[in-house]
Amino acid sequence: MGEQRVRLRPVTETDLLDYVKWLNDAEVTAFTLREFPGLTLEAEREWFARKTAPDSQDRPFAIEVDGLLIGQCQLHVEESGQTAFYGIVIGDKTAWGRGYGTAATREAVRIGFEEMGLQRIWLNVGSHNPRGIRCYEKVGFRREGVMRRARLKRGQWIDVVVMAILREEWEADQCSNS
Amino acid sequence: MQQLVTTIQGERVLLRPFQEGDVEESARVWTPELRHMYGGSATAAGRPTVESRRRGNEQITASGEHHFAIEADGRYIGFVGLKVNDEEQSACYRIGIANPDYWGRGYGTEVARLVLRYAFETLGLHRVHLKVAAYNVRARRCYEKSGFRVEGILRQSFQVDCEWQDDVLMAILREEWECMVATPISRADGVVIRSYRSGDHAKMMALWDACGFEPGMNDTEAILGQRAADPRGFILVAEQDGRMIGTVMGVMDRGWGWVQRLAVHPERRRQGLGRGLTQEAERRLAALGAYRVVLLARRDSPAAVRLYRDLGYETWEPVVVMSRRLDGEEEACSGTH
Repeated sequence: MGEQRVRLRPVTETDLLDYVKWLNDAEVTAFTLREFPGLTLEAEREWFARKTAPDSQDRPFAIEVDGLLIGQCQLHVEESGQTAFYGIVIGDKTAWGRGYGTAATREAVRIGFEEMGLQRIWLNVGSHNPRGIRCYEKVGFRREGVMRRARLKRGQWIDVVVMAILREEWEADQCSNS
Repeated sequence: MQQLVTTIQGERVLLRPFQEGDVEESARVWTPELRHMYGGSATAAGRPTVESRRRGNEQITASGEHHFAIEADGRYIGFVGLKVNDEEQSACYRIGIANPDYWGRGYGTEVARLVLRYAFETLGLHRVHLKVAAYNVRARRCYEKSGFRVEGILRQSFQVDCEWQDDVLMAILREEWECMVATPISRADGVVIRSYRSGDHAKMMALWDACGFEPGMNDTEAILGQRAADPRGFILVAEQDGRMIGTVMGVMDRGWGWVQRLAVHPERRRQGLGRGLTQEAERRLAALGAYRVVLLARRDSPAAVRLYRDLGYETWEPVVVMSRRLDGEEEACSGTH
């Protein structure tokens, strides 16, 4: 299965060129909630410096398949230190539809609960992105609500779905799988 | 970011910029229960100092948030703010009524109503949302009354005194707000209930005449136009096929909403129209912050009294309606209004 081939590692400065390329690709950002028009390498370097600063509460990961960079995901730890907000983008379009996003998310969730001791991981996903929603459901995220017409995306209001997975849900899932 | 220069006058409250003495007052009236409403401990020791309040206030002002002090009875009772996201044409709503003397009396609803009007009409926003601790039932009820709808529950979103607690997401969209305050209601029978507008005056006078209302000096087109435009009240008319068949007026006085001039054309009675108009008036008074509706009914009009009793109104014992004629005329019958 693809799962074993997917690995998360810390983001490095050499990844940034790819990130800039992806986030300037309208096909890639069609499914992201936010867009970054005209994103520059300069701005991405600032992002990297912020995320890797000693006081940063964020855990950004590069997603690799067989050692090749295909995307990026991150856990943004909130003020309490016990809940985190998750986001992911698979930038390499040839890697779409193969379950890599699901595998990467599963691994990020494991790190969040097992290594970081989180209680809750949650995310926002556009209702225009059913593939994303299905991926999160497979990992064990549950729908908590829909923020109606919460985001203006390419001239259209879209609903934003809130999903979350709790520590006990994840633990129960581990027991039933083993 | 647009800096706040506005003051907004409501029925009982004034929303205005912060001024000297507000932070001292907010620190003075602070109770741990207030901290709990915001997701903090209800039992922990410690209270905010005037200095910490001042710093917090300065941060909020510096962030560009539309930030108002709430004043009632001439004193500071709390704050309210809108944190606007320009890109999304939306805002996050925050309110805190610090003074416990003003809890549970409809002040929050009145403030929400004023701020939503400001958000949608003045700022032209499209959506206003908020997050509230699930256990803060009083706040949730206030938000619901103000037109916010529940969009979701964030499970185990935060911890209070070692217990995980849920948050509730709520939001109101511009269309919903417009529907609440302004747009006509169409009933299944083709009757439309809508706000009074210029051009209605002659029809309204004819209807009131047919209903036997005494003509009053306050019924001129100019005065009714003013009343219709006053944010503390409203005039509604019921229409069918372009014919005016009913009216009702509402006006706020402190936390009381007065229902006045309920009129249904004599040929259109006993069809639920009086009930529909009264209920619509109640809904709008509640949105204006009323915690009680009050009306005067004539004893010699048993149908009206029956209607109000059916709707849950009761003779209100603590109140005696008192009156005295000033024009020296003999009273033909008692209890007119």
